[in-house]
Amino acid sequence: MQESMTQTANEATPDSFLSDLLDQQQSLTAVDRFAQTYETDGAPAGAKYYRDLIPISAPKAGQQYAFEVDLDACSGCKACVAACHSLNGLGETELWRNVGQLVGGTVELPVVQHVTTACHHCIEPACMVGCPVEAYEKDPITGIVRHLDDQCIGCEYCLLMCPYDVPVYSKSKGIVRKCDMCHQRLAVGEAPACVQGCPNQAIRIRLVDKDAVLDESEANQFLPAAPEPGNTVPTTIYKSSRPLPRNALPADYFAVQQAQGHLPLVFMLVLTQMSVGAFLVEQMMYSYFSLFLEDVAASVRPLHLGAALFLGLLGLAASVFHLGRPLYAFRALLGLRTSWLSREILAFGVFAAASTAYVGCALLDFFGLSISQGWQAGLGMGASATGLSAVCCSIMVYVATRRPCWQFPATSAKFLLTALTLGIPTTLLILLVGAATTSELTVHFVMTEYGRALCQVLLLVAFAKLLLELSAFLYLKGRQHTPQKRGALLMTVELGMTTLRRFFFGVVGGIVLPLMLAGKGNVADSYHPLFVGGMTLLMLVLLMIGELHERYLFFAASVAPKMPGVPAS
Amino acid sequence: MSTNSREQSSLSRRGTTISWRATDGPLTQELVLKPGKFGLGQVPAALQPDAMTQMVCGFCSTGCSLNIHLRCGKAVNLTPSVDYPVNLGMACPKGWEALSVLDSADRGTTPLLRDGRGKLRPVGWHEAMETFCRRFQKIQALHGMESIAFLSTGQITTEEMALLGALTKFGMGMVDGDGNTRQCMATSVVAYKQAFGFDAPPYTYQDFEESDVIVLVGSNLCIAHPIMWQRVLNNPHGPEIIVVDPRRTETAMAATQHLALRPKSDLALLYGLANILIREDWIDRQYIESHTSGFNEFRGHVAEFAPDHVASVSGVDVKQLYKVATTIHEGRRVSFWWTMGVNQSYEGVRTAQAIINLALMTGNIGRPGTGANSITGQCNAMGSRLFSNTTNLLGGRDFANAKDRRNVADILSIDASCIPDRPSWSYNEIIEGILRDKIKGLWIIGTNTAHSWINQNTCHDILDRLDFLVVQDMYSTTETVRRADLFLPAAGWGEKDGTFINSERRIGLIKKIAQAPGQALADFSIFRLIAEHWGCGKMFADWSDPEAVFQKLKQISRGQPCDITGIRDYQMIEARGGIQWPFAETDHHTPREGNLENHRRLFEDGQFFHADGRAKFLFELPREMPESPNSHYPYLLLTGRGTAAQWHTQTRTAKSAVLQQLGPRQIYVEINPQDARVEGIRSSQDVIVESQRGRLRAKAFVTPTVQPGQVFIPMHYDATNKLTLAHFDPYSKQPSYKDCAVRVRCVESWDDV
Repeated sequence: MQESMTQTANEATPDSFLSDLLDQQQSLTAVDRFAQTYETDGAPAGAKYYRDLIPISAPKAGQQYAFEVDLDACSGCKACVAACHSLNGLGETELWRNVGQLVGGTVELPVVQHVTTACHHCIEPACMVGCPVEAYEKDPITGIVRHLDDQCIGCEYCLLMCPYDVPVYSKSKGIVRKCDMCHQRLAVGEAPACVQGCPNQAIRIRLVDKDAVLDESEANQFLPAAPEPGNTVPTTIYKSSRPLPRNALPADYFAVQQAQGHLPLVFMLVLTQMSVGAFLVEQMMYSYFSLFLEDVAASVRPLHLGAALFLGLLGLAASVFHLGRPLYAFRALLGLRTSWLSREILAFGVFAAASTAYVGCALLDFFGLSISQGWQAGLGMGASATGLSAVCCSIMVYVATRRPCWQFPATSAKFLLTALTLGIPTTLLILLVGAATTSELTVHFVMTEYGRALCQVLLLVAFAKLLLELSAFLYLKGRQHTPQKRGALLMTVELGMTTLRRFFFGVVGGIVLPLMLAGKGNVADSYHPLFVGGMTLLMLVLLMIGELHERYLFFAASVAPKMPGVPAS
Repeated sequence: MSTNSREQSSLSRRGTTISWRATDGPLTQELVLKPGKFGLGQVPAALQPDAMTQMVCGFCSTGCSLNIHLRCGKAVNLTPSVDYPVNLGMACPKGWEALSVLDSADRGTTPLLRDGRGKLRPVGWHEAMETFCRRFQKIQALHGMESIAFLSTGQITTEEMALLGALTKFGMGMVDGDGNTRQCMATSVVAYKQAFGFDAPPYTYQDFEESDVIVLVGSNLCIAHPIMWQRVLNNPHGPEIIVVDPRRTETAMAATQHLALRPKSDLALLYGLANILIREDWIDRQYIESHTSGFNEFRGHVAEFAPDHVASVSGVDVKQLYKVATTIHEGRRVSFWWTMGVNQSYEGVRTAQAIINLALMTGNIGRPGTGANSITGQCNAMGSRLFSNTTNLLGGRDFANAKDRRNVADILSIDASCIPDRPSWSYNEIIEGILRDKIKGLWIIGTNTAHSWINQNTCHDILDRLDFLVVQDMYSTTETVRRADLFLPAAGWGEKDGTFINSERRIGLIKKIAQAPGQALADFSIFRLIAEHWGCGKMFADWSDPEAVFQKLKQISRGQPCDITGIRDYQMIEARGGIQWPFAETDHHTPREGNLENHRRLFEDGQFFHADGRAKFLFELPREMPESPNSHYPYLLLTGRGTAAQWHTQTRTAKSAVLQQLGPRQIYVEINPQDARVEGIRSSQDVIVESQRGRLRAKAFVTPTVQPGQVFIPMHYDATNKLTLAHFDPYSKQPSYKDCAVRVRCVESWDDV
């Protein structure tokens, strides 16, 4: 339908008619023409619609404010979400309220139930417990769980802690924000935005007795298909005159959505565990190879420990990239009383100090300043012990979220085995480097005395770890679409390639290469020392890539509990 | 509250940027609220208005009023108006987000012309106008005056519709032009016109609150018109709510009776109800005798629709049919409402009239809480019905009637010979006209034909046959703009003045409270600019601004059922909280106390617009749907509104990050668990849905809310109409979007969709 266009090279000066129209278009006249009738001040005109939807008095002792949602009245228009967004001036994509849906019932009587949900202003807010900088506070009078935006460092730990997916992270601001029940409005007798915005008056604020809420949380009377209320004791009351059918499921129940990969945390966890692992292996070498200290250690210890320390510090540095506002990271110890994240940070701080001291001591020793054996042993023990406790804190950081995929047995096994999986080859590699650089040691000696044993242990550790990870796929057989099954589904479909790579690197680095190095015909005899060193380096690199993949999957395939969502989301 | 002391103490710490504890600071300040004044309550401090004005929303036909918060004359935020007789302080998400969709990178900022290499490139208005006129005039010279046509919208102001209709038909020599309102309410127009003698929805929203029985046919009010549902919930009489819908919708959930009938058995079911009402003598004989005609014939017609027969056709059992009939009989104020489930049907006009018949025979019309009431779609569908000058001559007149033509010519001071003597082709006839080489040039204004027209693949093929396609829209990225030769950037709602007329006949104002991006111009200005360049500027010299045109429309309406001569000016509309037509000069209107009381309904005197003053019973035998499910395509595809946050083709709603998050992001198909088991489909799995005409890939949503044998896909996704079958109501020419046969299967590795 094209026809060749003759182009006017230079457009004629726009006639005055056009420029008049363009000028008119840009002049805003509504104020001059119509605004005079609205010169009103005074009380909010909408109060008459919401007066009955907020309590007349402040909470008494033992009480707090809570949302009450009348499910019979919630028809799924989602005006509450938009009202909350506009009346609170939220960021473009930021939503503090959401509406999901439950479907179920029979062919004869199908049921669709929309569910509006925001922060539940829990009696025991997990966000507050987990926050390392005490950026959450539960108002002693109203019970509203408020987020202190200027206190936040943007660690996003509350996102992992909250079972209801409530806090919203803003990349541009570097902080988290969340529903504050419009406490500023309630303070002056106005209804929260969602209450004001619901055409069906389905949301109201009421006073609840905290004890009653606690009792009800025991009986699991929150909302079918929602995360169980026992963990945080949410205060929102969902009431309905018609019980939901037993087969009611969230509309997004079968949707599996990849979670965030948290790369800085992936590196932080793997590197710190590698570092702790290296210290641990060094300590074990003391115990099991009594000659180790005299024969070998003196020459390669500074290198070994230095490398371990460097890896640890690198890992800690990586964690900073995770923060939205790293400048304020120094606040991270405020939450020690409740937050495993604070404890983790402290523990790694202590570990860094202890291991630095140990490394310093080793260096002094290396340069001939005699340091007493007792001191060295003590510092060595200290570095290992603090490192181990720091890794335990890491474990608890994730266990504390109570996500089914991050339960204690699996998480602790993964983290500790990572420490060994990477600590052992690191040690072996350093020994070989030592052998290459010092005259007292040969590759042959290192391999026959220690290498074979180390490789055998590594083989065992790596095999156990891979087996453990494989066991996650057993959940695929389950009928119920549990978070673990969703995680396994993610790892087979969306994250399938990552999973494949993980096992490839794990098997080659943790089984094939150790088998070769620990094989009967001693490699050190048959191959050039440089080749042996290369193999060991390759083994370490492959194992490390494998562990990084494993940790990425740890986050990306961790399915978080949440309130019901919408289909095809 | 308790935070005061904290805030004070933190103030003293301000200035020290690094502190252990910061309970206040720039981030905290971002969320501080301040009194909004103007009766608004607390608003975000950064968006505190210095002035406020009200205007009606620009999405659906509910016609809610919004308080626009202004700063230095510009809109910064909005809240629903509190004392407007439509929405009582509430809005749906689209209303709340009405401003944010204006601000989008997709907005057209300059005209775009397709160059020799097939790319749309920016040009100035002058070149755009020259090209527009040259190309269209050339087509007219080659193929005749009637070889160019336009397709317009229910989303521009009444004044713009009138100017467009007058410009094209009186000034440019076009005969054919229709609106996308053909896709949403043409059926109601024809049904009312034939039954009442004029296209006149009789109700006021207050009727939702005054009924004791509310019958909703093919209407998911909760999702499509949430604010009307608000009015239902405001009803203090504990009404019976009867929903007739094949799907278990939100509205069906909230109903007291849900008739989950088989698709397209609605006509038989409604006749069946009439049969029971007559059989039991539950009819208002006096009303029938005094105010209607054709009842005896109707009685004979419905005699065939015995309850047993209707039960077997509709799948609704006899007991349930009797229960509904009894409820209607026992109700003192029964209102009947219908929406797209009725309108978008190949026998929609007769179905709508079957509803009208129920209201007439039970005397449920002209009284509070009653009526046979069509709920329309777009914000200004009603404006288009009265003043778009497309199939009707301005003011609900007849092109074929010489007296009407002379009348309009006199009012507008133009030569009567300028006025075409036949009504326009309807939308589908224009599309067919392109196929038959009768239409060679097309001007599309404010609608997304390439997305919304039925049987999309064919539609695309047909649009591509045009010699010249001009698309005028707010956004330069719609599916239709992508096929255009020339794009004209339009200012949208909120960037211009004018009036809309809502479902209950209420005229409301829209105002210029935001600056249009770049060189975008109000449709009104574009039409004037075209008039100048076309050479008929003189004819429209005094169509200088929207309010001047409004004064002309008043004159045009004089003596018509839609007489609005009593409306002084925009200020009066503003002051009264909108004004429902008719509002004649000769009426004696003493404004009632307060805007909320400002409502009126039609036919209170039992006088209809036919010459004999009576309403007609109209009826016809139901027909089979043309493409019922069969062994190759075993499922019936239903389409419709998905969520309250999505509007039509999502041209606007997709531009709001909030609205985007409220609806499913990708196309999905609802399928019953029984069928899903048979097809081996799990929820959230990708499936292929195909009809004889096309296919699409969608996420499966397994839900019992659709019946076995049926699937549902929302209309908002661009692929939906690849499946639909182009068939139309013979009277209204409205497309029947809700019945065609499809099959559903899992995605195979070789599928390329």
